[in-house]
Amino acid sequence: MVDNEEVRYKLTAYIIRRLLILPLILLGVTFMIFAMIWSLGPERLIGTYVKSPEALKSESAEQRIIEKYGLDQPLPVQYAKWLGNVFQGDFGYSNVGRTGVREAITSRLPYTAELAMYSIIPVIIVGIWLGVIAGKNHNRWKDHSIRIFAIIGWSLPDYVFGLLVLLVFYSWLGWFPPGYLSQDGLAALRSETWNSVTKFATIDSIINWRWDIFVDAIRHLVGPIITISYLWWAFLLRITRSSMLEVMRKDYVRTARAKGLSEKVVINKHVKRNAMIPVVTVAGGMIVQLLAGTVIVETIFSRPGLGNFTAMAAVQLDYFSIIGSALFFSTILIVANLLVDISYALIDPRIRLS
Amino acid sequence: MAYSDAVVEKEPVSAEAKEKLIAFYNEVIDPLFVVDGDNFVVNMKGSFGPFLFTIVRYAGWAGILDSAYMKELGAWDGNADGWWKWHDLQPEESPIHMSDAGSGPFKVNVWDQENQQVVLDRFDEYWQGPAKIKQVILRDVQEYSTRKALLEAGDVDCIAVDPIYRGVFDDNPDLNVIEGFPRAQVTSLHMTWGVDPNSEYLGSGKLDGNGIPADFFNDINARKAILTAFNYDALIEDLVNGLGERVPTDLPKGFFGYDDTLPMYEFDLDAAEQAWKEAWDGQVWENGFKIIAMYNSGNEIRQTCCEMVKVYTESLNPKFKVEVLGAQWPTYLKATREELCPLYSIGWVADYPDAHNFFSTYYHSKGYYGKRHGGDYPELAATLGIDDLVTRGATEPDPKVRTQLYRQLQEIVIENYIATPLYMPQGLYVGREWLKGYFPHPLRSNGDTTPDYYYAWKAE
Repeated sequence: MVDNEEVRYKLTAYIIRRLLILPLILLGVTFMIFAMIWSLGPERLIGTYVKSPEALKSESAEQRIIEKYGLDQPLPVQYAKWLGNVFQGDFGYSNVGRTGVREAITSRLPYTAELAMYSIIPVIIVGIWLGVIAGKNHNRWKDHSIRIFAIIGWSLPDYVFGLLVLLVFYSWLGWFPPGYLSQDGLAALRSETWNSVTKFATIDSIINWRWDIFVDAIRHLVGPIITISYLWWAFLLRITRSSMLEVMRKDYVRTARAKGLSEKVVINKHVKRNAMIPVVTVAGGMIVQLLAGTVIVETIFSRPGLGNFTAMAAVQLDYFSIIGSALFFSTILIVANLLVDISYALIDPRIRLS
Repeated sequence: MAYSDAVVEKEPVSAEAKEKLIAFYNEVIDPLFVVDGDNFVVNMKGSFGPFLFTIVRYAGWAGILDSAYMKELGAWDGNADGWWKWHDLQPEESPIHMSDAGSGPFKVNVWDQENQQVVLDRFDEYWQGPAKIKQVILRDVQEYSTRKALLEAGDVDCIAVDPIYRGVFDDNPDLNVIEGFPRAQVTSLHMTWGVDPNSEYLGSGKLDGNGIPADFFNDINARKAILTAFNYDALIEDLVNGLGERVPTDLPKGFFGYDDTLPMYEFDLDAAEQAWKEAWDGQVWENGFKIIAMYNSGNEIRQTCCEMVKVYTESLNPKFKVEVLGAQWPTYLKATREELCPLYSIGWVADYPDAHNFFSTYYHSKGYYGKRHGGDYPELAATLGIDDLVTRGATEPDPKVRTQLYRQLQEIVIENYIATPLYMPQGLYVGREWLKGYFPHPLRSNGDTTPDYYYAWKAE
């Protein structure tokens, strides 16, 4: 019998170890991105600060920009300077956001987080549910139908499916418009009387007792959620189905059946729980990807958010925004992986003990 | 005292440098501007017709701002000592970067960076009377299909439409489509006469079939061959769906000095072949070459222009190779600015409505594009009198004389294959039928996609 204290101690030590590694990984990631951008050379990096050739009409403009931003300095010097600023909370200026990078990211995060939050619920619930049904009904019509549904979802590029959703639900039916809110809704959010607590329009509208804005926010969320959900269902249900099939072939499942347990009990108690281990890993990654911004979905549905911001920063080679976003996404990824590993341990006692 | 003599360092540390900057202000800048009550007098060094336009209306290259308000925001305090601190700032450095000031018919109510929209409210005390529209909302919707859906649903009043979508909206009775009106811009090819010998885009740097010499385009026949092996009509008909027009030089139609009796280059592959045979004493035809034609990635029209150069040039001789290269904006900027790329597609949108803006840019040896030719161009521009004609044309007050000067200038640049226009773009406006008051304006920013808000109104 293993002591519970020992298990708790091991788990805590593991979490602390992972947390200590976190800054090193972040340093590595930012340094790599910094080095890649730095390798372009100072003359090309001027393009980061100059948006049109006209801005370089004066003879001294180019050299001044190089000097001002220290673009000709060696990589370690530039990186150390950036790092020093980061420790003081200054992540640099975002040309895309027209504000500090930190402010630009934090101001856009709620938009993406709200979309991710509402998307992940149907993605996980329906994705796992469909996967379980397909696994339980292996090679029967239900399984085939779900697999066809998955193949279509998996093969459809998100920009095609997103445009289809826009066409059907907005252009034809007029139900779910693109954008974040209607103009009236945005005007309400900008008004002095609006109490912005979470920056999630759906939640703040309830806090402000504005059901019209709540409905408005939901109407603008449905299109992107349908797009994200269908594409991710396809992925998640395939993982769940495969995992279910694998577990159903295990000896302990056969034993459970041999003991005379009902199929419902076998599936719910013995198969589902074990089949969920790889699903949890995938679902954790999905949350990160959704938070990292769904670039195409945000672009097609004209929604503000981190995906949109990062894509624009990449196109415009907005140096500090790219590095800031990378730092943010890396942090989210590492923390999410940590949470996934912890939940792994909670689901599977074997992992907890090892 | 010249600007470059005075401004040696942006933040002067020595007393001497500081003194120079103060003296520059007192001697050069201050005498140019006089505030006399409600009058603002600019003492110009010479005559320059388009000056007024550069400070008012659609150009917006300079503006007269309320000094008290600017000081309140933390802008220049009006003193000679320290003026340089507020000069030529990067956007984020400027205290007025995110502020607005003006006397126009609308004022900025909201600039929503996150939702990428600007809300303008009517300024009721506008000196010409209030606008009819109370509020204007400008939305940045990147995806064309989304913009189209919003317009068709009536959630927006007008959108920007690329020429490739011409005709898509013609059958919709709820929409108003206006097309084919002139824009004050040209798209051109640029040939660098003296490429940096160390450029990575030169290939072998010799006429051995694997590159070109740095001064390849110093030869008039090389320029002629490129310009006569280009299918201008196909570009206009197929690529921009007819929304373009040919022009003899890099000057848009309708500008002072535009002359439609001037000859235009013909698409003539025989002439091109002959020119290549004569170029570089026959070495080009004999040995062949490999050249890079560059465009900035994402610009499909420029990309296709470069591809057309490739197709027609390579069809003349199997030893001719044209490599079309799409470059990201920073790379393109460096390659074109530093004379690294021998051939690339460019364009110019008028800053102010005067021929000088195009002639000085393209043809003066110190012009924005003119100086990028390098090689023998400065010498030739002086010998042929190009620089002189450009300068005289800008300051000549007599329209008849000015017309003659510009005619002469254009004849020279055509004859010597210095002018490299591909086409002059035309506009395409698509808006809801209920939005009234639209009229095209070639120079106004977004003049092809949105009405001038002051003159617009919505029908019942």
